[in-house]
Amino acid sequence: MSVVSSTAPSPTAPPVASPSGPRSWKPRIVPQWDKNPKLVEQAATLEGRLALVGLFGLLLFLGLPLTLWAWTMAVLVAASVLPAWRWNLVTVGTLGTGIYAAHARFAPGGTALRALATWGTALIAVVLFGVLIFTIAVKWPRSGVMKRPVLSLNIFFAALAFAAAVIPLSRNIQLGVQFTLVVLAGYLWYFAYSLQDRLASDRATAFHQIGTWAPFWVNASGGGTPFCKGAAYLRRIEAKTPQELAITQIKGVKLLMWCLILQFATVLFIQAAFESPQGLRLPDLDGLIQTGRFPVWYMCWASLLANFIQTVLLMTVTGNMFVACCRMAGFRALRNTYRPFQAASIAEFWNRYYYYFKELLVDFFFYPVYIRYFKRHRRVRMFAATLAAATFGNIIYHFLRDINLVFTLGPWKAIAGYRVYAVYTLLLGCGIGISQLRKPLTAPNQSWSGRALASVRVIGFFCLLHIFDYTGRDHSITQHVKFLLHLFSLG
Amino acid sequence: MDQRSATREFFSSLLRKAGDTQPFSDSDSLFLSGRLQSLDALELIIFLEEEYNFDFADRPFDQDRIDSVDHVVALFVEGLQSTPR
Repeated sequence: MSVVSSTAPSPTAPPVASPSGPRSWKPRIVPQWDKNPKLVEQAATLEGRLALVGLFGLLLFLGLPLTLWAWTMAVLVAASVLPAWRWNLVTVGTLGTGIYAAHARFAPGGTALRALATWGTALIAVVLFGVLIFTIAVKWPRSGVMKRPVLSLNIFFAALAFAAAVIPLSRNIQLGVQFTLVVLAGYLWYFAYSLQDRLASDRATAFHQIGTWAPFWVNASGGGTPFCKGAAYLRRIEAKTPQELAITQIKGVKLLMWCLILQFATVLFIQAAFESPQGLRLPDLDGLIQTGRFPVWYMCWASLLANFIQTVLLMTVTGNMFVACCRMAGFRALRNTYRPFQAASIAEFWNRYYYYFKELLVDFFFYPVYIRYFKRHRRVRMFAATLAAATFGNIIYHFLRDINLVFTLGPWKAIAGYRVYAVYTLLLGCGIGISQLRKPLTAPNQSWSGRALASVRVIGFFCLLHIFDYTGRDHSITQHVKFLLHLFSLG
Repeated sequence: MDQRSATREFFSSLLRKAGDTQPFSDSDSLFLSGRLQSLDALELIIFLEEEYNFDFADRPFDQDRIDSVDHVVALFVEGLQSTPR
């Protein structure tokens, strides 16, 4: 799979003075401060770092609740003053946001399942389980289940969830077990990256691994996709010198500024497209599909396109905000979303749209298949590995993430109800697979119109695919197909 | 040609194909830095499998492990290849 890195921001390279003059000037919404050697030199001092973190804090204040903002800023200030203590501070910061997240999410007033839990049980369950499996993996890295630790972890988790759903237990014990599994589900892929780190000679300690499990820069949004991957990756991208740290932090500030601008644009867009009485008042896509009552075809197209743009904008803002915080902590992380609408192929769009989710699928599904099967048949090898990642891995990830549905709906309904998303992943896998086997739609020297046409085709594919991007369990495939047909007046 | 030189030459050819003619040292990051893409990593895997009988199947694969010439040479030292040709 091609990665976003070819088009993503380059790593921290020493800035050089750019030639002045009208030809080198290009209007930019966020200035390229990281290319200014004088500014970088100033930002490399302690005062400069504190000034940068201060500016970052002012901007971040617009995007986070007060308590979380104060904690995040405390960690970032400490990491800027004491970069040598970065890893310890990341762990302390992560534990703090873990407590905050658990408390915010499982505070009294929720469902019976949630009310049972307290922030303490959630945090202890996650940390103890993670530390236990990491310790076992380090001690016996190649024995038994540790030969394939991630596969073993997933099977173990799925079996436990199935058992918790079907074995009759007393109500309180059942709720306790199910709740613990729901919390653990959010951390599965963080643990997977820690398990992958077990063989590294410079692997992080268990204490530092904890810092990478829903790290503080994901702003207490809980588990799911490991933003900025695991400890092994973070070690590689850690800023090693004051100059590297300065450039990384400047890029963090720039990225946050861009996120806030986009956030403002997103609010305006949603108002104009859906909410404002003076706007277009487009119908909600999910509502249209659910009810099956469609307006004229062009309104359906408009609703689909607007919903798709909104999804991309929200992903860009949320993911890149995490990355901006990670950069401020001193890690040269690549952006999560980078100009997806400029993609010239389906594979490239997927790369540019949700980089860290794609990396998860590549690391844990693509490579394991690619290095083991169909070695003598290159094209089959590539296609099979792509399907393993974009289809199979994608399904597994979302199914385990929403494991609570297994408990509330029962295993069979949770599996059978997943059919719409299964169609989505199958189409996505085939699309990316074919896209990779074909020659690129554009050559480097292709005309502007040629590139634009390629982009339109790619956006068209993902826009139509978006109809099936539904992880709920209530819709049938027919409902989504009917909407698709209506777009072409075939309903 | 020894293993280091062969690896270096292969990396050079990948960079040339990507239109990158900048020099690089044996320790320079080529994938994490964004100079090469994952598709290039797959070509490198095939090169190592076909030319040196590498087998990555029995341990977790991570793109970081082939990030530079030095990283790949470390794999030779680690003995990932079965029977060198």
